[in-house]
Amino acid sequence: MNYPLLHVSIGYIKKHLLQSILLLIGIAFSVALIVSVDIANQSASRSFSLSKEILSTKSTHHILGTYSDFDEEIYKSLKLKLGLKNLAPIVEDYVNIAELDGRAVKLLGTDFFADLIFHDGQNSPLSNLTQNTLTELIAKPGAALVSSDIAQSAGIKIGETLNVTYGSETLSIEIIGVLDSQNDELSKSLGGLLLTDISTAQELLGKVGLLSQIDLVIDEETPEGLSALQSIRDYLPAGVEVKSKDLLLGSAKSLTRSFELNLTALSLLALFVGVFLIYNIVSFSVIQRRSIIGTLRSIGATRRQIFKMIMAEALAIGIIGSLIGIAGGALLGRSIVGLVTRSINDLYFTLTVSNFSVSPETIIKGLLAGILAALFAALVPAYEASSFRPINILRRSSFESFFLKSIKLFGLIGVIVIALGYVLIILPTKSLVLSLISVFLILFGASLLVPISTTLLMKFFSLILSPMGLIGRMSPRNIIRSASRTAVAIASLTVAISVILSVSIMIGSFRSTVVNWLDSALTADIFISMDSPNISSQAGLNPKILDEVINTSGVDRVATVRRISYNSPGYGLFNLVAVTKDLATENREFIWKEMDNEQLWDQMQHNSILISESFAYRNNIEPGPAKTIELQTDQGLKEFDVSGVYYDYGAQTGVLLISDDLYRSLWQDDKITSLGVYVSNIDHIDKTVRELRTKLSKYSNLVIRSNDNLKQSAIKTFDRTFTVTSALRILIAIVAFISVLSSLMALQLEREREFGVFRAIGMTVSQLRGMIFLENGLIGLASGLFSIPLGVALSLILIYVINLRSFGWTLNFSIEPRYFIEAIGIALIASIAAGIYPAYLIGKEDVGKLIREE
Amino acid sequence: MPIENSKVPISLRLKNLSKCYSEAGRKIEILDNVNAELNQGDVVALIGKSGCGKTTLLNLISGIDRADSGEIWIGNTLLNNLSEEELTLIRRNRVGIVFQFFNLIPTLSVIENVSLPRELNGSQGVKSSSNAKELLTRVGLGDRLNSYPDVLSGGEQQRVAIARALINDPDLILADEPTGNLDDDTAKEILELLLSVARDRGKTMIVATHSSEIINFADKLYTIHSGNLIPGQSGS
Repeated sequence: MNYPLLHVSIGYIKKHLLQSILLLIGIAFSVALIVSVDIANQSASRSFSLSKEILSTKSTHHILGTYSDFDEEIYKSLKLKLGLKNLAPIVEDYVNIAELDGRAVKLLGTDFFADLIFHDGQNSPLSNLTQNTLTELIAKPGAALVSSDIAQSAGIKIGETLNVTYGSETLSIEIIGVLDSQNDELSKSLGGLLLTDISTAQELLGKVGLLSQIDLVIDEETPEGLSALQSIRDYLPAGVEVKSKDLLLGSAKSLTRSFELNLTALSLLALFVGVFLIYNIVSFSVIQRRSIIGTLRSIGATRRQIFKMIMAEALAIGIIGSLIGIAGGALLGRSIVGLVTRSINDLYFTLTVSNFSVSPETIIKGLLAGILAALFAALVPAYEASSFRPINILRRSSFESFFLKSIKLFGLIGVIVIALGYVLIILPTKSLVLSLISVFLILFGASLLVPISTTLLMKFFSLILSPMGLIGRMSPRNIIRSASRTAVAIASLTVAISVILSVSIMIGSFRSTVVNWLDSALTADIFISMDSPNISSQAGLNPKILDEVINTSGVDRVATVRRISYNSPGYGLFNLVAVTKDLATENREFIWKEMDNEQLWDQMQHNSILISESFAYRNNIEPGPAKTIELQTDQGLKEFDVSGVYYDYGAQTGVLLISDDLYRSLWQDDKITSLGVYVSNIDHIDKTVRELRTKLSKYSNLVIRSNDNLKQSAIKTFDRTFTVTSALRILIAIVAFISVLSSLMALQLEREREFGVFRAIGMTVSQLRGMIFLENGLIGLASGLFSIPLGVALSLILIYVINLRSFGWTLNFSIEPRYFIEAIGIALIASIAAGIYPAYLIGKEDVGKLIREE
Repeated sequence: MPIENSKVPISLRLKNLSKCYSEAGRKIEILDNVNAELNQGDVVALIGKSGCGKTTLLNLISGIDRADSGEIWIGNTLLNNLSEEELTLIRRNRVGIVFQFFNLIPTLSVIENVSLPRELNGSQGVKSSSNAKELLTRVGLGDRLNSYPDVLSGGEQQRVAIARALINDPDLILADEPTGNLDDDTAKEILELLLSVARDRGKTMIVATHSSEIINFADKLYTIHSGNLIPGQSGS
């Protein structure tokens, strides 16, 4: 851009600083959302990766049991028989620290003489420890090293004892050292860790003679590595597998991908709204300068130069806004990381490592998003500024009449775009990306329909409001007259409100579905389970508890639940849940079942299982007869008949439901995850709860809750899962608010001369203010009204397409009138608030000056 | 002071009126101790160089701007102490303004533009509409009632503005360069129209202008020079 034009731009920006600040805020907010969500997603993924790198960053593969720990002899054989080096045996599970409100941490035991452990040299977390500490760690029962974050949070010092719970047991662990590493990555991976000698871990976790995992280093690029891998595979017994670390990370990522993708889509929606904001402000800046641009064109500035001037301004503001957004996103990301990690802990797997890192990719993504959005949004205004002849650019009305003539075309394009979006939705695919693209297409198509809808609605309002007199008739017309900007403001507000509305309907539907499901699934009167259960833990209650509960007065019968996390090569990660009759089929809602409940239960005693909807969806199992599932059991590979598919909204990984008897006959596991107690007299539930609490007080980490209490707790977890979504929803509303504020303010400020004329011919300040608020109110009302059908349509897509494709859950569509009232209310508040500043200025402006300027 | 509705023979009185502006820290005296008295029905031409203070004086008289010192009387009403709201009502009911750039409201039809000041008073319906029609017929636009300003020529727009200035039957018409934006032939037509409607209805009118035509037809001529209002001879 040449110097005089640059000077014109800088002068303009200086003179209209408020506009530039609003523009910066809009871009910064949009970018901040994208950056923070990206940070949260990447950090969660990195946390998982780090949790697999505790002992060495060099390990490439892990040997794992499909559903449980495996014999430690396998480790010895790999070393001795196969002659493998660079191995490390691991025994691990999640325990809870009472001192930290039951925070889940990983208790990990290993053999400190294993080859792999010390390969990181100075970086090893053990390199700072003395030989005495190491000797003590190996020789002393219950001795452990604690990660520095736990030591700090719990305020524990070396030599003190830390109480942790595992299942229903309390374990006392003596802290003999604090773990740290000079390697930044390794240091991060040590978060939430208790490290013990392998035998200590085996004893504490009741896994004597067993291993949870073997870490190893194999170079798959070399023939030797491939050959070693093959020999390991050949050697490992059924139910034990070797998996590359990347594959494990990939499968964890694929599980959380939908969750993360939904968050990313929400953040992109904020950018979508941000584009409207940028368009509005840049467009306004062109209008404000029409006489300057006209003069520049008259004295020889080319179209290209004017175009470049506007685009260069957008680029500059885009860069500055994006940089501010990246900084803001990093700050916001800290809070969102916590929320995302918590949701992953609730829904997928336990994450004990809390990693926060901002990668260069995230910064580049944020920068590109902000700059491209700014440039894209500035294209039309820049074209507008450059394409009119000098004589026409002085007249705003020429563009408005062009715009009004084009609204039918926009509407037609809008219908086509919406139809395209609809086609993408009904395509027989499970692609989440396609369904998210269709949401964007529908939003974009609806935005294109807004100008024509606004014109029609305002004509209607003009009739309705005509009894109010001239102001009533004039206000809707003013909105039509400035359609190029009022329609864009209405579109941006409509998009934002419809997104908020659709997310509200989706969460509301989800909640009511879960409440109904809990009512049908939780039939017992009292539930006994471990406090702070970890979704990835295989821990269970002491089996003795069952007898004690049965023999408690007031107890009629007891149902048991055993849940184990199962990682099968064929079906991925899911929960295998063994239940007794009361919890199996009674009240359960089925998508499909082969026979009545009694027959079903009979079949489940022999060879039948039930699967949850999400399990069926994820594994492409169509509900219907003649479906089988093959699972590795302690008795070898077994084939089960699928006799029913039921609704379940617990873990998203999916559930495979088996009768307790069949489970115990095939798996050597006597643990219980939870108990459902049925009382003989329903009026005595509280009394029985008290009695059970007294009786079972000798067991740790137990929580005994009435049915209502458990449901409330489940709903609390549900609400927690949607905290991130709700937070993003509010942030989108803020971006929309700034967008509407800036565009409507700009619109009203642009009309100051017209307002001056009104004042000059006798309109009082209060009448003028009334007109401003009426116009803004109409804009808000239009946005609110348009957002209702769009929001409902989006919610249907969210519920029946995106939610199903993301989680495999079918929700019942549930709608409440308050959502609509809220939508219109938010739209009205935002638009009326946008009128406050112009209305304030009306009383301050010099009328003579306003009408003199041309 | 209450707004008084009665009409009196002395239409406008300016007493020791002064106004100055600050520009880049410099005080510029636009009007310095201006005095004048106009009777009902006087047609006054106000001339002077660009920037001499013609528009400022009209703005002070219409209550759009406030004087630094001195008094402005419209009839028996002293404007100095009136509130913004009261000044607006004076402008609406007792002053009709015709601008150089017409200043019609683009979203209102011709008849609605003319009815606007009356409707701002809360008056609606047949009477307001019939008065507007009558005025528009008078200014030669009886067949363009429902047209919008953007389809009218400059001369037609100014005719609408004149009709609008008359709708509330004001005591005083203020026209600020009403022909400044028109070609010679149209300017002549507009001036003739202004003069005829003012004279027919006995209105006091001040026209700030460069046009020699109106100087010839005005009852009184005032020139603003160095902040002073100097009475001069009219052509009639």
